Order: sequence, then C-alpha cells, then structure tokens
Amino acid sequence: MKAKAIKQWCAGLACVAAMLPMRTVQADQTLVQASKDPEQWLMPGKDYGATRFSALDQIDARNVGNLQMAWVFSTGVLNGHESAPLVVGDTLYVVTPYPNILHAIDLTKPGGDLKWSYTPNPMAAAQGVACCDVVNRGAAYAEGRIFFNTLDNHTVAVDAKSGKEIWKTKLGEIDDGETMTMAPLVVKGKVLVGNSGGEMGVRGKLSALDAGSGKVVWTAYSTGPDKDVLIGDGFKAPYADGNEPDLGVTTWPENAWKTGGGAVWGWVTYDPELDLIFYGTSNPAPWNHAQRPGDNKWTASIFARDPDTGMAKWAYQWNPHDVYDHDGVNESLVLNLKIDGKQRQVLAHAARNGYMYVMDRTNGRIISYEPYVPVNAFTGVDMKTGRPIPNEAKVPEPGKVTENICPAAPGGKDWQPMAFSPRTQWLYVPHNNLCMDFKPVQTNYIRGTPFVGAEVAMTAGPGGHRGFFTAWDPVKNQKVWQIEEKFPVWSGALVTAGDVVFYGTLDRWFKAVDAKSGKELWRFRTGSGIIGQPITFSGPDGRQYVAVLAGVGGWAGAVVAGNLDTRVPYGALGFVGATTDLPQYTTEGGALYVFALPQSRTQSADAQAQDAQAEAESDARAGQQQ
Amino acid sequence: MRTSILAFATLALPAIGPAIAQQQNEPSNASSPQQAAQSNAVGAEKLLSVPVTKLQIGGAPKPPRIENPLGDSAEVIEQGRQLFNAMNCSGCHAPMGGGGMGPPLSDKTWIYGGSPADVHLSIVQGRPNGMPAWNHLGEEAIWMLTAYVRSLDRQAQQLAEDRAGQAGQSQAGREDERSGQSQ
Repeated sequence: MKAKAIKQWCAGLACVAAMLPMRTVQADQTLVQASKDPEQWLMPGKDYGATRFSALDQIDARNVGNLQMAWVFSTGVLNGHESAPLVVGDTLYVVTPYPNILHAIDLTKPGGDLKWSYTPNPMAAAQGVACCDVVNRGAAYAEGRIFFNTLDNHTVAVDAKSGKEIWKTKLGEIDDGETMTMAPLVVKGKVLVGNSGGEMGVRGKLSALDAGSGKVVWTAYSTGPDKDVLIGDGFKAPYADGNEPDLGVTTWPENAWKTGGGAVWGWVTYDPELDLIFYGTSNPAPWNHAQRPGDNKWTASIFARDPDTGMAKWAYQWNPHDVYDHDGVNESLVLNLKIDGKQRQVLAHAARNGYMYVMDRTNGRIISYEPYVPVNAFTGVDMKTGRPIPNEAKVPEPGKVTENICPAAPGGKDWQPMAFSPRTQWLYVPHNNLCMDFKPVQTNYIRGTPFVGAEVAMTAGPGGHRGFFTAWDPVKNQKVWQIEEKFPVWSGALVTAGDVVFYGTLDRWFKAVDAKSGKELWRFRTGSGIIGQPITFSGPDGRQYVAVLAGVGGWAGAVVAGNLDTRVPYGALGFVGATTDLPQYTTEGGALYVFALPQSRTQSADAQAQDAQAEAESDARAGQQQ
Repeated sequence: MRTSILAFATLALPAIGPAIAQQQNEPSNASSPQQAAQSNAVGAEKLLSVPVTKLQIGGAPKPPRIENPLGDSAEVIEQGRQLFNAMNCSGCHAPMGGGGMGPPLSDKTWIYGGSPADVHLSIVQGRPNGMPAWNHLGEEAIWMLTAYVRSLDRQAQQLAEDRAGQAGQSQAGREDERSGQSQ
C-alpha cells in the first residue's frame, strides 16, 4: 500500500501537517496482505511467520551510522518493557508492563503526540503471581481494533481510533496462580491468547476469542484427556511416542496433569497456506521432576492446530519429562527453505534446550537439529524417536546439587524472538550463554502459590560472557557469525532490507549491525536496559523510523526490577546468580525510543516543495497583517 | 496434595498441625481470647494496634513494642525455615529470601516494616501488590516464620562471606600450583 499524498485546502500552520500523506488500513485487506505492507507493523512478529523482517531500505548498512534519536516517549511505568510497538496507519501503539496501559501516539504530529491512553485497571494482586516480572509482550491489530492481554487474565479489544474499550473477556484466575503476559495473534477473526503460570502449577491452555464479540470459541488445554487437548481423528504425531490416546493424562501420576503447567505464554505463528497455527507450551510443574514421573505430555511441546476449530493436526514434545524448566514456548518461524535441493515447508525454532531445530511443519518431524550454545544436559536427539538423549550425570537428584548444567533454565534462548532475512536467508538470534547449579526439593501444591521445588543458581556459560547475538544459517543449520555480549541478550531482533540488524542489550545499548558480516555499524545508549522488540516503519512524512522500548526487567533483569538481594544467588529462580553486577549498569525506567536518519537526508522533493509553499503563504499572511 | 501439607505439618511441627487442620473447617481469626492468654501468643487486639504506616500524627498513641514471643533461637528459626519451604514462601521470595516474584526479605529494605509485629502482620494480612494472607496458619506458626524472615539478612551476609572465601581459596590454590607449592 503506497502512501497517498492528499492535497487539502490549508490555512496557516495547519498547512504543513495537512500536506503530509494520510494513510489508512483498507477495511477489505486481510491481515495476510496487510502485514506485508512495509510501512506499518500490525503484529509483533511483523507477519504471520514472525520473520520480523522489514522491506524498508531507506536506512541501510551505509547510512545507519547517521541514525539519530528523533523523539522519546516515557511510558510512565517501571518494570520490564518487553512489548513490540505497533504502527497502524498514522498511529503508533504501545502496551506497557503492569498496569498494562495502551498508549496511542499520533505520528503526524512532530515528536509524536499522545492521542489517548487506555487503562484496563488490572488487579494489583496479580503482581504477586507473575513469575518473571510483570511484563507484557505486546498487542495485535485487526479489523480496526487493538487486542492485548492484561496481567490479571483479561483479553481486551480497544477501538484503534478512539481508544474506547469494545470488549474485555476474563480467561483465568489469579487465585489459581494464572496471569497473562503474551501477545495475541489474530487469525481469521479469532484472537488467540494463552495463559502464564508454569511456575504456579496452572493448567496451560490456548483460547480462541471471536474478534467481534470477545466470546470464547474454543479452548485447547495443554494437558488432560484428548477431548480437552483437542486431539481427535485428524491428529497424527510425528513420532511413535505421540500417538497413544489421552497421553495428557497417562504420562502423569494420577491427577498431576491438573496442576501440570504447559502454560501458553509465548509466540503463536500461522501458515495461511496450510491453514495451521503453531505454538508451544511451557515447562511441566513442579520443577522438581521427581514429583511427576512420566513424559508429562503435552508440556514443553509444540502444537500445530486448525485455527477455526482448534483441533490439533500434530504435536511434538521438545522435552519429554523436562527436568530443567526448558519450556517449549519459543517462536517457531514459518519459513520455506531449499534444503538438500528440495523446497521444504519448515519451522525454525531455537529451543530452550540449546538445540536449533528445523522442522517439517506439515507433520512435525525434525529435519535437522544442532546445538547453538554449549550443551551438556543432552548428548543429542534420537532422530528415530525424536527424543533428546539425556546426559544422566546432569539429571538432578532430589536433595542434591547438580553443578554446571548447560544450558541453564532460561535455555540457549528464552522468549526473546529472533528474526529472519529472506535476503541473507539467515536467522538473527538474540540469546543466552548460561549454565546453572540445580537442586530439586520437595514442594507442596498450594493453589495460588509457586509450585517449583528447586534451588537454582545460574552462572555465565563457557567464556564468561552471558549472552550472544548470532547469525545462523537454518539450511546448513550452523552459525554464520556471532557477537559476544556481557549480559544475556534479552531483547527481540529486527532485520531489514537495508541489510541492517537491530537489537538491544541489558546494559542500555541499542545496536545496529551489518546483516551480512555482523560488523557493528551504530550504537545508542538508552536510559535503561533494553528487553523490548524493535520495529521499523514509515512515518507519515515518508521517512523510515526504528522504534524500541527501553526499560529493564523481565526474568533476566529481575535483579534490578525487583531490587533483589545480590548476596543470594537463588533469587529470581536462580537468575540473580548470573546478574549480580547488572545493577551497576542500569536502573529501571520505561521509555519508547524512536530513531531516524537526519531530516536533510530523507526529505523527498515533494515534501520540500510543499514546505516552501507553506512558508511563502505564511510570509504573505504576515505581510498582510502588518 | 492438601493431605501432604497436613501430614508434613503434623509430623514435623506438632504445634502447627492443629492450627492448619482448623483452617480446613473455619476461616479463623488470628487468635481467640483463650489463645491470647497463652504465653506464645500476643493476641489479635494488640497486634492490630500496630500501624502499617510510620507517620504518627498528633493524638495517636505510640505503637506498642512487640517482641516475638517465641524469641529467635536457632530452633525457632529452623522451624520457620521449614514452614517457609512448606508454604512455598521460598517459591516467591526465593530460597534464603533473596527475592524473585516477591520482594527480597534478606536485605535491609522493608516495604511494610521490619519489626517483629510488622513482619507478622504482613504475613497474616497479605499486602496489596501480591502478598497472600496467611492468617489461617495460626499465630504461632507465623511467629516462627517471623523469626526466620528476620534472620535472613544475617544468613545472606554469611553466605556472601562464605562464597567470597571459597573464591579466594580456589584463587590461592591456583596461585600455589603455579608457584610449585603444594597445600
């Protein structure tokens, strides 16, 4: 959709603004098409495949060194800012951490005017059952509405123009230990949302809400009998261990599946051709694996489902009987790659367990896997059974400390989403280099309290640097280039047709690197550490902008966001052990940063002519008044 | 799972069992007049006279100084530690109270006050930003937890010194190896 210049009669200073092109999202465009518009950013992953790739190339590897801060907007909130801003037409939308304010910013006004803020007023007590800071990963746009989740288990639909609440649906109970932090995905008129609470013994689920009314259309649980998990006649698991009935019950001690986790707090992607959604489930509860013998299906798994009915086409468990809190919720990018001379419909998934998987998305079978971080917890994945092979020496025993397990609980990569460039055909992966000491201890299920049972202390992985930003070739399934970072890289990644990659660090750097070589091209020090998802868009003035939220927190930044005691390494489920120095690098503070190339390099001849005309008219009027 | 909490409580902490068993049947107050008469209880009326705020305006009486009636012996602290784990306090506040979902209990910053009565009331009543109310545990159990929570600063300091000492020893060991000396 090209920007249309609209000529309007103008008066005085209003003239310049009126001359800027006005953009709208056409009502009859489907999201599949609309998400391809490089000028806008309608869903957190940019498109249904979550490539986080923008076709904009006004900013490129040659000129990104000149990038400047154009404006900054304080969100008014502390704690970890994980969301991706959205740009719909001429408005930018951002969702804050608790209390989950939705700000709408008018991009036609210099420096961005605050148009309105919508405040859902979530319950303050919800903060007490959120495991990993009171984050929110963003909103999604469809059909003139902004959809997002609140910490206290509501999905909200807000009118994108007016900011009025259209509907608000309650999906869970904080008294059950449930919260919501994930960004919805809207597919064919259904808003797909999942719960958080794998550390609280919740029962994980994905719900589909009608975008018009907010009514629940279907619910797919992660555990329990097939009728709840929506496994039926059309289901075929890719490996033998997935094809017995009611595995969501039979692979657990009696009733343990009811408090078994499998929360759906991560990313949902969609393939419009196969008409399948893909998403993962969290760790099983409790972390003390000895209390739940069995595979614990379908926790730490990936599902492929029909978006209309929710029925599962296939499901694959990344980590049967997970012992390390290696959730399965990371994004599975929908990519078409030529592998061994054949075109393949794949998913690329950087798993918590340290393996980069390339999967056949038609059936869930592994095409290839390779470690993308040091891994000693497993010796590999059995390609016949699809099951990881545990390193028995690293399987924790109750009451004993098992030292130096790699990767740690946050895995080789946690929620922080990677990007894919169709130009280089490479993945751009923000991630961790962490190991841990782990001691399982007995825990009791008390509804509304943590159901964990582990003493954990994390440490830096081999080399001492705790994070990486890695370019990865999914066809060869190997590393291309890699940047070492002092801290885990907990932000999202963005890659553009200008062959520039953007990411942010916990120690307050927003960086641009060359997508081909990994050479750093530009950096900017923000007010607080960055864990947000960078986006890029075209402003009403035709200039390309890059935007990212700064505001440290999340699980990695909990030591700062929670003011935790750095003398105790077990804090924040062990993350404090690996981040005792983070408070020396950053404090809290939420703000949206928007960057652009300097004005003179981007003004089109058209805009320059219009400015000159406006100036001439204004001079003429001034002359008349004298 | 409920029965396992009772089983643990009744076996390991005889004083707690009846209090927890009681909460199955009734939402009880912190203590009855009869319980207040016992030496191990302070009583609801006296506890509730402790303000949460530190602002003391004209005409308001000085808050009572309330000590932990159980004291702070190693035995009481250990009882508190077992409760801290059994009730999943360690899940929110981390083992040794370093903090996580809930704020740290081991440092010197107290959002709602760090006196024995302040800590006791925070556990009894819960607090608005996510701390649950544990009234049903009974006053005695909460005094045990209070003793444990108030010991955490000292424990964290000890842990930090131990870890620094270990790091120093392994450093010294490496230096000795390099210089050819054995220990």
